[in-house]
Amino acid sequence: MQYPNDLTVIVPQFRMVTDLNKRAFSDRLVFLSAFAVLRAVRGDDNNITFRQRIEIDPDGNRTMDLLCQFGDELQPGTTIGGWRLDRQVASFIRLPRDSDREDEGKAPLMRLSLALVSKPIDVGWFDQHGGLPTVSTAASLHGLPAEWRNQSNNPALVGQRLAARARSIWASIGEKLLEQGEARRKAFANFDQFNTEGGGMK
Amino acid sequence: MKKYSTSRSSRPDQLAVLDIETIAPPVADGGFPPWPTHSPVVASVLTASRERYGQWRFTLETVDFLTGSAEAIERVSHLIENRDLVTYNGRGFDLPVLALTAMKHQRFDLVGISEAWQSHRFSGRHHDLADIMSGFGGARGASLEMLCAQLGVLVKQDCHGSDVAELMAKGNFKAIANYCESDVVGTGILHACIAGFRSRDANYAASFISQLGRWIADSKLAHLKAFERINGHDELDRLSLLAVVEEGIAALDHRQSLKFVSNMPGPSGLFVSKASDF
Repeated sequence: MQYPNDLTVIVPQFRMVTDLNKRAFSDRLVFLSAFAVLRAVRGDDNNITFRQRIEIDPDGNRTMDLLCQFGDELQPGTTIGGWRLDRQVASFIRLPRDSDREDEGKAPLMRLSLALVSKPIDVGWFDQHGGLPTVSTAASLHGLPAEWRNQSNNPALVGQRLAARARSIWASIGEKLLEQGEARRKAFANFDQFNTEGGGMK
Repeated sequence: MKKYSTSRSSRPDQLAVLDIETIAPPVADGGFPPWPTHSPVVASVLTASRERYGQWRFTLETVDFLTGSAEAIERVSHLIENRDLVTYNGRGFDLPVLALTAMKHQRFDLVGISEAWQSHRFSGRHHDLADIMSGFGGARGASLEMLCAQLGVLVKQDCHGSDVAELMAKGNFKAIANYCESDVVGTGILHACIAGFRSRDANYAASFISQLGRWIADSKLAHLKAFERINGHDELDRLSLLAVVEEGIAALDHRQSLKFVSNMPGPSGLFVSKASDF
C-alpha cells in the first residue's frame, strides 16, 4: 500500500434512534449529527495542502443537508481514509431512511461509492485490531468516551473532537505509509504547520 | 401459496459451516480407520447470517462430545437447523458419523442432522466443498489444506487430523478445539470463494471474508489470527465497502418505487432516543 497523493479522511458522527413500532419499515433509524472531512493533496513538489471541513448539527434535524454537504466534499478519485470504515459505510447507507427527502440521499451515496472505487485506507487495518493506534488515541479522545456522550450537545467540543480525530487518522496513515526521507519530513512539516496555525476548526 | 420451486441458491444467506474431530481405534495396516468406528470428540460450527445491505453476522461454537455425547449431538443439530450446511467432505465423513452418533443415542428427532444427512449432493441444502471442487467426481479430490494454501489461507499450521488421538492422550483438549475451529473458519473462507465464483458474485465473497476477518479481530480470537487478513484482503475490503454502498443505493431506489404503490407505514413517533457514539 502506498501513500495516496489525494487523500480524504472522513470522520462522521451518527445518532441512532430505536423505533418501537414494529410495523415501521426499520427498527433502527440512523441520523448524521456531525462530520469532519480532512483532505490532503500532495503536489509535485511533495508539499501537502490540507483542507478541513467540519459540520455539526446540534438540533439533529439537518441530516439530509449534512449528508449532501458531506457528498460535496468527496471528489471522485480521492482515496478515502478513516477508522472502522465498514461500520461508517454501513451507517451512511441507513441515513436517508424514512425521510421525505430520501431520494436526495442517493447523490451523496453515489459520490461515496465513486470515491470508494479507489483503494480505501482504514487505519484499523494497520494494527490488525481495528483500534486507533495508541499514539493517536489520547489526542483524539480528549478524555473518556463516557464524558463525550454527556457533552455531545456542545458543538464546540464535538468540532474539536472530530477535528482531532481526523488529524490523528491522517497522522497514522502518514506514519505508516509515507516513504522515509525528504518527502516524509516535508509532509509532517506541512501537517505541523496546518495543525499549529489552526487550519480552521470550523 | 404452494411454492413450486425447490431450487436453492448457490450463495446461501443463512449458513452453518461444520467440522468435527474424531478418534478411532487404529487399524492393522496403519491406514485411515473406517468411518463407522469413529467417535466425535469435538464439533465446531460457524454460523453466518447475511442481513440487510450485505452485512454478515457470525457465531462460532465448539461442542464438546466428551462430557455428554447425547447433549452434544442435540446442540450440533440445533446449530445447523434451518441453515444451509457447508462442510469439507461432510458427505463422506462428518455427516455419516454424526448421523450414526444420533442413532446410537436414540435421537431420531434431530431435524438438523437428519435433513443435512439426507440431502443429495446437488440439492443445495448441503454444500460439500470437496465434492463441488472436484466437479462432483470429475476431478481428483484435493485436501482442504492444499486448496486453501493456493488461496493464501493458512489452515492446519500447528496440528493435523491425525494428531487428535495424541492430543487426546495428553489431555490437550483445548488444542483440538482450536484446531477444529481453525478448520471450520478455513472452510468458511473457501466456501465464500467457491460460492462467489459459482454465482459470479464478487460482493458475496468479499463481504463474507472481509467481515469474518473483522469479526475475528473484534472477538480477539487469538488462535484464528491467521484469518484476520488473508492475502488480497485489501481488495476484498474495498469490494465489501463498495457492495454495502451499492446495496444501500439499490434499497433507496426500491423504497422510492414502493412509495407510489402503497401507503408504507411511516414513523410512528414512538421513539426512544439513544445517544450513540460512533
